[in-house]
Amino acid sequence: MPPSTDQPPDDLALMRRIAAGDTMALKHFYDRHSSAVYTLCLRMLRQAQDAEALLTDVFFEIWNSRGRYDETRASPATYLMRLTRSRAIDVLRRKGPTGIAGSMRLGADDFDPPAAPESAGAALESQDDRARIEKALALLDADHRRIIECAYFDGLTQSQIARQLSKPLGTIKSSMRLGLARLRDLLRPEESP
Amino acid sequence: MTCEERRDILIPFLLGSAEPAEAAEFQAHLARGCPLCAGALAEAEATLHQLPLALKTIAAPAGAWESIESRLSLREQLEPGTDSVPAVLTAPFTPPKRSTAWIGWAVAAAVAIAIGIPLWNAQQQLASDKNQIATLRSQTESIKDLQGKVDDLNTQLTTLRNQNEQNRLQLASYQQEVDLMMHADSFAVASPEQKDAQGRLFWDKNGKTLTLCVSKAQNIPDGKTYQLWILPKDGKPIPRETVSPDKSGLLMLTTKIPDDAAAFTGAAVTIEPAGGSQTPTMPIQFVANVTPS
Repeated sequence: MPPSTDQPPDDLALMRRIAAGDTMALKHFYDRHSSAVYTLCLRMLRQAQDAEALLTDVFFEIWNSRGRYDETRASPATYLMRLTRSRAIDVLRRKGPTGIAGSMRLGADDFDPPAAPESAGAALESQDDRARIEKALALLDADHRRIIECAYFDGLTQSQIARQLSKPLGTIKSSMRLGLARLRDLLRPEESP
Repeated sequence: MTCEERRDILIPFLLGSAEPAEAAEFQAHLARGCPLCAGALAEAEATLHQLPLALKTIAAPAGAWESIESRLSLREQLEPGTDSVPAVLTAPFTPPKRSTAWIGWAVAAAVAIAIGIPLWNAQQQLASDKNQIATLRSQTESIKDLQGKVDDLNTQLTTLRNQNEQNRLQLASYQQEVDLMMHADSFAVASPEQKDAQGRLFWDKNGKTLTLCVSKAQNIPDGKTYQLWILPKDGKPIPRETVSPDKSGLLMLTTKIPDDAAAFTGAAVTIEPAGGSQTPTMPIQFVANVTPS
């Protein structure tokens, strides 16, 4: 984001204000991340009502457990996505095999093509992040990418992925390791192509 | 298992999908303080949780924030200033949904009813109490308004009673004058100094009083007053009361006839210094002669 004389508070400042009981900070945090959270909820749960319910649950939990966030362990955005994903997995598990299977069956490629134009109205910073991640994913081996998606978005175990993709478990494990290492390298700013 | 081998289960461990035995082994390893694995874990987490940012962004539904705000508000109302959260509020929020999974919803509805009815009742009671308080406040304001009106009416009533008393006294006075005029002997009053003035002198023999009534009497300067004199057959005029005319010029004065004035010939009025005199100051303003019957 370009420098500005009236830049909004960063995520860490917002989380500190939320910890102090500032509901306006929660509103700012919501405005900044609600779309990303909702998008993840929708991607994992596949139903708008479930996704909306989870969206509100997540931010309500952010408020109720505001003393729990440890800023030395993860950034607020990472903490938020981890919480969202964890709660989405809880929802899928409550639904049983049909929830996981449904998510898995519908788990086609949901990422934009790397060259796709950015969504209108998105914040510049988000656009930059998105473009950088899209580019990294585009450079990732297709199998590695698919395996990581199945693990992250569908909550599948390595054994389930092996069955789903009809590949040996060992291949899945090594692909996950290699894919993660490659993605990590691609997302490092100094090593981004 | 070596640290390198543990890289294979880094993602499942992070995402909670590792096999229980593998997860326990990795957890124990981390607990022993391996910096390499701890660092790799943190790095993997930061990498993985960027994945959602590449999804096609979909705006959050309108009204979602209002739902959160309502829950926060409800929580604050139920337990103001506390961090403990009622179970009903921490239960996953469920918006209206059209689904064929009716059994699950039926169970959820039953739970919601079990939890929600007491809460709903409490809210209804609270709303009812608030309405009653608002009604009582409104009634109190109405009573205050009415009390103010009653006070105003009491003030007006007091004023009317005072006026009525004054009117009653005035009426009694008029009645007395009418009686006097009906039963007393009356005599013409001459006004040699005041051409417009006219008057009568009433002699009430029963009451032994003389009443002088003169209209259009002139106003007199400050420090001066009209004074009545009884004129005996023999001797000097007897000084009586002083009086000033009202705004209309009406001069009215009643005096007792003293015993030593039994044989009097009339009455006269002069202008004297305020407080009256013992000897009349000429000229005479009004005079009436009586003829005893």
